[in-house]
Amino acid sequence: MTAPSHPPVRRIPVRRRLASLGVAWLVAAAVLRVTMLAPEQCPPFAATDARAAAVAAIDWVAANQRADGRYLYEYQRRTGAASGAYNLVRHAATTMAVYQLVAAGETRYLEAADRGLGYMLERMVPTGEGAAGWAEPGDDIQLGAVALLAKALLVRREATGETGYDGELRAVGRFMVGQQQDDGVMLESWLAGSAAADPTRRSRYATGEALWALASLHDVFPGQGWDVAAWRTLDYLSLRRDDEERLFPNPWPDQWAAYSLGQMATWGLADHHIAYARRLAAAFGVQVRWDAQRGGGIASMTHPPEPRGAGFGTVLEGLGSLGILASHDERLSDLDTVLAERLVCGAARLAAAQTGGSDTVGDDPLREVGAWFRNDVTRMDDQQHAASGMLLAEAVLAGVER
Amino acid sequence: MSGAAAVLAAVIAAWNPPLVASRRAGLDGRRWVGMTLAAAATLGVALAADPILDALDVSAPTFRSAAGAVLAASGARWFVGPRPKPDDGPPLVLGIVDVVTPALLFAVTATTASSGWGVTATGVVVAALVTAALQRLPLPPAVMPWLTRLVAGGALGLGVALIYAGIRAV
Repeated sequence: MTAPSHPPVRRIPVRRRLASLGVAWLVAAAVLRVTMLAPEQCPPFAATDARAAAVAAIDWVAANQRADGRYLYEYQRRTGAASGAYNLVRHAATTMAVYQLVAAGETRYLEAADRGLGYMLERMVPTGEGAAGWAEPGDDIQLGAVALLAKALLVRREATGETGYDGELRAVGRFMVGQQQDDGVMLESWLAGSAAADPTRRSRYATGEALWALASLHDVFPGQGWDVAAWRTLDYLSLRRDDEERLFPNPWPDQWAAYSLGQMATWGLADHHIAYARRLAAAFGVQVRWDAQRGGGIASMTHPPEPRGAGFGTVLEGLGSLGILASHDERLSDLDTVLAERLVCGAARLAAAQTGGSDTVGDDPLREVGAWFRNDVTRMDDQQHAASGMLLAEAVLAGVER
Repeated sequence: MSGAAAVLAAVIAAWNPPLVASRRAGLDGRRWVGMTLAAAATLGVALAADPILDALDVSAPTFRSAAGAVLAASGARWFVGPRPKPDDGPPLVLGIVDVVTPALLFAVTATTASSGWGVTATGVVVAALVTAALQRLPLPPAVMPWLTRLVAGGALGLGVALIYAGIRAV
């Protein structure tokens, strides 16, 4: 009887196995620790810190406002140059943010907000059938500017209790409905030349802005049909917008849609709205986690770019708004805590990047303190989005009913 | 990736039973003891998933993506690497070395953090049983390398899925 014949096999010594395992561990640990597993750093942060950051941001807005109500648009702190450009949508959004701070109790900013509002009201244009928008004389009307004028008026109404602008509110509401298509699509522009909506242009921002305004109008003026338009556009955003408009990333991290979902939290949202909210929450959450890993050294190089106030502010706005929805809708209750954690972490990081009194580098501290600069440039929406996000973070930290 | 089936698949792929079975020449009891000890230690690490993540200052989704990267890299290496060979040394140590790999420890920590310890432990036990079955089955010699590559491909795909799941979480 002969032994079965096997081809000779060279055995691997255990020392070599152990050595290769050790090398694998070391390499994996070192590479991961400065890349995907870099520590997420969230500085300590309190409600008072969030309020202070919001106040400082709006201080910058108010201190640099012109007599006619316009704000300082863009500023380069090394050269001291202010941009001559202006953006009406951002003007409206900034006015809304100032009113948000007024609504939070900082009533000394009401005058600045009203001056910003006056700039818009002076440029209101009737567009037919009781509707109105606003634009510079002779220019086309932008849906986003009108929607955020509506939000500014609504927040002002909430802050002051005054109803004197309700007529204007309904007029801009009718304008927004006039821009809506049967499938919920919102058209971005109203052409002054033809006195009609431009059927060829949509905006990744204006659709959500208009939805939020319409939903807010329904909450203030129930029974007038604003909710019908809101549902239609919410369905469009939830089910088709990102694909039809080929937005990347998908879902587009749309804080205006998140605001809308928060506004409509008690309306009885459908499952596909909740699924959309969940996807949005992830799109915002991962941005905070990524930024939190951007500590010092190699991790700062492996986690670019350094975010600007506007971009990161929108993340805070999205997280805060979806947190409101999660606190009201049990289908998202599993996200309630983590949304709050991401919001607070993001707010803490953003506040740490705000220019303080000792951080100025140019000759005009009034144009620097309270602002967020990237490459030495700040734009008014850096302060606007950041301030709005800070107020949402403050509410979470203070345990305020949202 | 939070479904139980996905967790089981990830843990089993990270263990790679055909690869472990290929390295075992004969049914040495001490080697089995080593493998069992390593499996128990792995489950102990999984039990400490939350403190580990706290110590590392990373969130569960972030760790999930990292675990996916390790699993995908391991899968790629198993897929294109040389055929596994029997090795030589103290059987107890070899049994431990067979199991305690970065891929498995990252996978069990990540899946425990996202889906709980029970389903992760089930995955480890199933992987050990599959390894034992492969060791005992009279399979033709050519089969095991292909099975190893099949699981490697699964590890690669599941690793990518874990990375994506980590990105698509809050």
